Amino acid sequence: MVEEELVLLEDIYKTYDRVNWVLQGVNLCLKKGDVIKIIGDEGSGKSTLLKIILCSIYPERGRVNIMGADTSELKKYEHILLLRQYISVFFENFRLFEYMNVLDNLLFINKMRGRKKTAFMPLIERFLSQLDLRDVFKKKVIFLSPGEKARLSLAMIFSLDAPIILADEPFRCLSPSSVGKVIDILKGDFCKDKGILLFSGKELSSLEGKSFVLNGGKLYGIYNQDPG
Amino acid sequence: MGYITKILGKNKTLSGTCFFTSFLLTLVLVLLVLVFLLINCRFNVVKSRAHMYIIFHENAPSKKVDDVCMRVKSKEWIKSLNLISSKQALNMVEKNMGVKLPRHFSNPLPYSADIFVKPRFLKEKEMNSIKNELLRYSSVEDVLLPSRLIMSYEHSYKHFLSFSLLFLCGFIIIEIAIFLLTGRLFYLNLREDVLTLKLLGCSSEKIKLLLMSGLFLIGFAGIVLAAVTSLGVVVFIRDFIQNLAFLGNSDFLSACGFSLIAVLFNIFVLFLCTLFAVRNEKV
Repeated sequence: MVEEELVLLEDIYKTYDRVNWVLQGVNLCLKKGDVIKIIGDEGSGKSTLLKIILCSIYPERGRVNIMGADTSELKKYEHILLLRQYISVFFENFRLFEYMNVLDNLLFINKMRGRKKTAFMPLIERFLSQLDLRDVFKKKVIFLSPGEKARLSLAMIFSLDAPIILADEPFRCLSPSSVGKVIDILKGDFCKDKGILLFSGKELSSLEGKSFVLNGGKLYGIYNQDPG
Repeated sequence: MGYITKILGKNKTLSGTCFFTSFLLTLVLVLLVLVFLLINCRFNVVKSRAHMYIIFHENAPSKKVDDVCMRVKSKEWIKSLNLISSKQALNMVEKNMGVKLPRHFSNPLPYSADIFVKPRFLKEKEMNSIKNELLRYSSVEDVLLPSRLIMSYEHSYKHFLSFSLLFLCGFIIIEIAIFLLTGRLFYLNLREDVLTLKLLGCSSEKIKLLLMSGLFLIGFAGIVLAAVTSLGVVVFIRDFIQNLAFLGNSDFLSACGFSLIAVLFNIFVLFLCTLFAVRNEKV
């Protein structure tokens, strides 16, 4: 394994009905410091790709390598859960603990991941401030607006401090100013050593990185990022 | 535990259901055990009213009769013995028949003894062996047993015992099913949160421990409340119960002991059901 390779997908094929191929020969390599944007319409296979990286589903063909481990060789479910500790995921539907307050959500997930308080508390403090969640930190998630939920979900994945960040439509519910703040975090020192894989319905020109289009199950690279 | 109550905050009805299910099941089980124990004590009371007669030989000297009575009183099975002299027997006959016999009338009635045995010996087999034991004394002519009464008691007691066991077993099966179903309901309600935790890489053991401890503690609180409630009720109506079934203090304490066993049994069932209710789903 090359040390910087965090996620390596080789020739991935996936079908749900053995007739239509959702993914056809997808190749992708996410390294430390990379920001990869995968753009695709609804039903283009973005979520399938995310689930494959999370080992939630397996491809029919191809090899998935996460942090140097071939996922097809992981026999025990506990090993998969262990591997997921290297990944922080932003889900499109947030998947937050609705009846806990903002702070409890952050504390709970970090404690359940077995992280030390000294490691996660400074990060929680930092991202609560950076993502403007200080005023609502005692508010239950159920009472938050979609934008606040998205910011909380982002604070959650940043506080977990995992080397791989996967985010499915992270900017959809955010206001332009919040998008700017998130992009600042992604560009900043905190994410320098992390691999970031963003799935989105539209191109985000303000965030530098490699862009790919997922269409018809195939991944196409975008070489010219200049909108003009 | 703090977090599970926070997650459960979304469904107070669910935590209330778990709590009241264990509360009600424990309360019903304890009360059932107590009712069966009371019926059992009542049976013993009725049984202890059955008595047998020893008829001594007509010419048996009173010294020998007293000697037999002394020996019988030392037996394990004896509850009480009432010696009836021939004179007392004649008086009783006079009283019952409402006649006054002439003074020169020679008394034909022999000495006899009215014997009450302990309830646990009031079985046909035991009574026959007691009868044979008594007939070995040379001064004893005959022993009269309330055979039909004993058989009838024995029959009824057997029926009661098998009914109560069957009823308790049936109730325990239903109880286990209800505990399991409530546990599943608890898990299914938190399923989405569990799946989120798994997608975020939390270990199955930690998740299972969190859910199990939450479910167990809610159920345990219900059981404790049921135990306290039933104890309070029993203490409150103690006099009534003791009068109803002629319970002694030792009977009352053993009833409390059986109630405690029922409570501990429910805690054990709850623990087992908690183990099976939380499943390790792969996502």
